[in-house]
Amino acid sequence: MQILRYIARRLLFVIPQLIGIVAISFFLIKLIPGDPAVLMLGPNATADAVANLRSQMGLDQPLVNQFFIYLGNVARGDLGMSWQTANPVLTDLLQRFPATLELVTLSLLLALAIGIPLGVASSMHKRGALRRFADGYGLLAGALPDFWLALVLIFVFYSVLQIAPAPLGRFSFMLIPPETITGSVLIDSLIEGRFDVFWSALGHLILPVLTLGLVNAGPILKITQSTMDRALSSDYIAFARLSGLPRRTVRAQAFRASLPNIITIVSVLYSFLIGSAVLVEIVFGWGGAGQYAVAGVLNADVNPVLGFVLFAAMLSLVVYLVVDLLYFALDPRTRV
Amino acid sequence: MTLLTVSGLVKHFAISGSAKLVQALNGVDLEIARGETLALVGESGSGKTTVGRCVVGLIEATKGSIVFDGEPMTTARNIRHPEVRGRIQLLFQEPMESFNPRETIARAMMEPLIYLGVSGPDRVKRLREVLALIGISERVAESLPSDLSPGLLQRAAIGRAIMSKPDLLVLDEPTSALDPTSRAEIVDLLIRLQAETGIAYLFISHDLSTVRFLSSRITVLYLGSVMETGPAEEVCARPRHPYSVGLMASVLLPHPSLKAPERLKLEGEIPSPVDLPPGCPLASRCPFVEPACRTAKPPAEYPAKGHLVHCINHEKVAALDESIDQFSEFRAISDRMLSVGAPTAPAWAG
Amino acid sequence: MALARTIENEAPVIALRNLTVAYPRYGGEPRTALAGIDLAIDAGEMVGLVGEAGAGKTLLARTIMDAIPGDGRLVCGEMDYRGAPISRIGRDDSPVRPGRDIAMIVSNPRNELNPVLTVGTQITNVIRHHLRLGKAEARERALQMLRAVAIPDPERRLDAWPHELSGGMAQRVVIAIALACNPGLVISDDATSALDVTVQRQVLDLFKALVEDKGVAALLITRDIAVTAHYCDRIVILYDGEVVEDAPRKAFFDRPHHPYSVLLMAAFAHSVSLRRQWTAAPLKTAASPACRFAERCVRRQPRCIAEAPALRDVAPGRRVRCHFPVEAVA
Repeated sequence: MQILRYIARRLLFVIPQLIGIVAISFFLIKLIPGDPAVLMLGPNATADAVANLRSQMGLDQPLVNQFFIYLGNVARGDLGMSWQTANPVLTDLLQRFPATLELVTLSLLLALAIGIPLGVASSMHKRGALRRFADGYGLLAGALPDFWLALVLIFVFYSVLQIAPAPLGRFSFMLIPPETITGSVLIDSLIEGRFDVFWSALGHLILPVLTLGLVNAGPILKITQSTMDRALSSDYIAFARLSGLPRRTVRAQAFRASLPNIITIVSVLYSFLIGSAVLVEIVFGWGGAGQYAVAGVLNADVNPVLGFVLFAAMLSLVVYLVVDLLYFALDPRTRV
Repeated sequence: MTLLTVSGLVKHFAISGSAKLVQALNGVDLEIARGETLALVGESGSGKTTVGRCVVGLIEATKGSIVFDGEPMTTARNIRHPEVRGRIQLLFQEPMESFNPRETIARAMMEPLIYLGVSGPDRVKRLREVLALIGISERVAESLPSDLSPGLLQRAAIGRAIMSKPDLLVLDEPTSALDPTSRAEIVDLLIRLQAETGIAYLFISHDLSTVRFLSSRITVLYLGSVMETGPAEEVCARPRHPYSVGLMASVLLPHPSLKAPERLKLEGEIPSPVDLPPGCPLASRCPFVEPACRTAKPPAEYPAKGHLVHCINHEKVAALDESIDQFSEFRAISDRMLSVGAPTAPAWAG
Repeated sequence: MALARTIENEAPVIALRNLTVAYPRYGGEPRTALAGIDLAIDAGEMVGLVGEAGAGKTLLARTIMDAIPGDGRLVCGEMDYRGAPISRIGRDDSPVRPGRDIAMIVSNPRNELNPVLTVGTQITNVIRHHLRLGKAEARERALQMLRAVAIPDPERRLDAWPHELSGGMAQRVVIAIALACNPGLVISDDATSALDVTVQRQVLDLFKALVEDKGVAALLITRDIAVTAHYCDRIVILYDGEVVEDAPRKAFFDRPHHPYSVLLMAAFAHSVSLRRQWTAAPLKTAASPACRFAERCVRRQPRCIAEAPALRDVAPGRRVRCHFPVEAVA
C-alpha cells in the first residue's frame, strides 16, 4: 500500500517535470539561429511567401504565446509536423523510437553480460591475470569512441570477412517490413511469423549491439568491480567469511550488496544512450530517434527535436521510477 | 564563582520525511564554577553530546538559556562574539579526524589564534608555551597528524584547544578512542592543566572510573533529562537515583573483588528518544515505578546541599544497601599494588 | 587448569606453539608482528588476551582463523585443535572449519550483520551450511539460539532486519551465530567495546554463562583489563607481538609480575603520583633493546638491552617474560 502511494506521488510530479523539460528545450531551441520558413521555402522564395508561411506556422507570434500553443497541442497528443519528412512527429517517433530502444536495450544486456561477470570475478581474485585483464578492458572501453569501433567492426566483418550484412538499416531492404505492433522488429516479425525478417534483423543487430555493448561494458565493469571491492572489505562480509560460509555464498552476498550501484549505472547509461547512440545509429543507417532529432536540429525542424526531448524525458522518468522501486525492493533500510 | 549556567535546555531534531521529533534534550540544567570539572555521564542516546554541542554553539538549542560568565548567550552574543571568542573550546573524541591531515601539528595549533587577531610572533611564542605545557617537543610539533600515535595526537588536540587560554573546555569522550595507558596520560595531563591554568572542564563521558577520578561533580543524564547531579563522591558511592545505581553497578574495575553487586536491575535498553511519554523517562525500566511516575516529571529534590535528584523514591533507593564505594576500594587495592616494585631512582637510561 | 589437564590427560581445545607471523617491509627485514606465541585453552576455560592497539591481538585471532590480513605470512609455528594438528582451516578440505569448530565475534555488531538479509537468514545460512540441516530444522535451531541469547520475542526477531536492532541486540545475534554450531573455541575480538557500559555488562554476563554452560573454550580479546578481571579464568598479556605474562586470574590481580602488566593496572589507578612512578623516561641508547618492552620499562637494566628475556615459568600455571619481574608484596 505504501509502495502504491509512493508511486502515485511520484507520478503526480511527472507532469510538472515534463512541462519544465519542454519549456527549457523549447526556449533553448528557439535560440538557435535559422528561420524554418526560409529553409522550407528555399533560397528563391519571396519575402511575401516567407511572411505568409511564418504566420501560418505561428512564428510571428511572441515566443511565450508560441510556447503555450505548443504546450496545448502536446496536451492533445499533437506534436506538430516535421517539414523534412512531411509526417506528424508523433508518427515518426513511434516508428523510430522503438528502433533506438531495441538497439539500446540489447546493447545494455550485452554490456551487463560482459561487465558483471568480469567485474565480480576480477574483484574476487585481486591478484590474478583476470584482474589485470579487467582493469585493461575498463581503461580501453573508456578510451574508445563508439563510432570508431563501429567503423572498425564494419571494416572487418563486412568489408573484409563479408560475414556481416551491409550497415544499412535494421534489416535487409529487399524484404517487406512487418506490421508495426510493438515497434521492435524482432518481436513483431516473430509475432507475424516472418522469420526471413527476423533472421535478417538479428544479423543487422549484431554489429551495432556489439559496438555499444563492448563500449558500455566498461563502466558497468568498473562500477561492479569497485562496489564489489568495497562490499568484500566490509565488516559483515568479513564476519560471513569468519563464520565459514562458502565462497559462493560470500560472493552472492557481496554481489547483492553491490546491486544498487549497478542498477544506478545501468539506469544512467540507459537514459544517456537514448540520445547518444546517435553516432552509431548514423554509421549503421539505423533510422533511430537520435538520428531523427539530430537531423531536426541541423535543419531548424523544431518539432522533431522537441518531440524527441519529450519522449526521452518520459523514458528517463520511468527508468528512474523503476530504479527507485528496485532500491525499495533491495534495501530494507529504505522502507521506513 | 559560576562560569556557565545552562537552564531548561531543550533540543529537538526533526526527522526528515516524518512529523516526529527526536527529543534529544528535554530541559537540562547544569552549572559549572570556574576551575572545576563537571562530568556529564550517560549512555549513547542520553543527549550528553548534544549538551556539549549546544554549549560550544555548534548547534542552536530549541529552548532554554546558556549564561556564560554572567552574560546570556544569544544569537548576537554567540561563540563568535569578541567577548566570547576563544573562551570556550571543544575537544573531540577522535583526534585523527579533528586534524587536517596535510597540516603540521604546529600550524594546526596556531590557527585558532589567527582568528583572535594574535600577531605571528606572538602565535609562535604561545605555541612554545603550550608545547612545554603539554610535553610535546617542537620537532614533534612539525610532523603531520599521520605520524603521531592517537594518544600523542589527542595531547596535541588538547594543546590546540588551550592555545586561546579558554575558561571552559568541553571534552566530548576525549579518551574513549584511546588505549588505557594513553588514556591515563591524557587524564593526568588534564588534571595538571587544570591545576596550573584554572581552566574549567565539562567532561562528557561514559567511562565512570575516569569520571570519578577527574571530576568534582557529576550530572547523570538519561534520555535528555537530568536524573541526578551531585558531588562526584556522593553520586558514585551513594547514588540516589535508580538509574545512577544501575549505571554505577555496570562499571567494571580491574580487580576480581570489585564487581559491583546488582543492587537493582534495570530492564531492557535505553529506548529511542522519539515520542517520549510524559513523566519520568526511566518509568518503563524502573523497578520502583509507581503511577505518579508516569504522569508527570518527578520534581527536583535535594537530599543534601548541592545534591539534586529527580526521583520521588530516592529515599528508598538510598536505603537499598550499605554504600559500596568500589572506586575507593579500588584505589586502596591499586595503591597497594603500585607502591611495590617501582624503583625509587629514575629508570636506567642507557 | 594446566594441572587438571595432566591428571585427566585431556588435550586442550586449542594449543598454539611458537606461532610467528611476519609482514614484509620495503627495503628491510620483515616485521615480526607475532613472535613465538605459546598458548593453550581448555574446554570451559575463558582466557583474556589483553593488549593495546598494535600489540597483535587481532592478528592472533585472524591467524587461528586462517585469515591473516594484508600480506602477513605465518613464518613458523603449529596449531592443534583438540590434540590434532591443524593448518589453513579456511581451506574447504580442512577437517576443522571456521564458524563451526572455531567461531569468532568481532567488534561493532551493527556492521557485522549484513544489512540486506534478515536476522533469521543470517543465522540459518551458517547453521545450514555447517550442520547440513533442512530449512525448517535450521529455523528451529536459530530460534533456540535467539532464546539462548535472551532476545525478547525471538519469533518476531527472526524476521527482523539488522537496522531494526539496537547495538546490544545485534551483538546478541552475532553471539547466537557464533555459538549456533556448538564450536569448540569461540574468539571474541573486542566484541563489547562499542557497547554502552550497561549493555556491555549484560552481554558479557550472557556470554560467560553460555561459555560455561556449553563448555566452550573462549578467547576474550580486549584492550580493557577490567573486563578480564571479572570474566576470565586466565589473563594473557600481549605486548608488541609477544606474550609477556600468563597467569590465573586471582594470582595475576593479586600481584602482576611483568612491569607492563603493572603499567596496565596503573592506567586505571586514581593516583597521578603512583602512575608517574611506573612511567619510564625515554631510553638514550640508539640500538633497539633486546627486550621489546625495555623502552617503556621503569625496571630496565643493561641486561634488558643486551639479552631478550624468555617466557619462563615462575609458578605453576604462571609465566613471565622478564629478567626482573616485580616480586610478591613484601
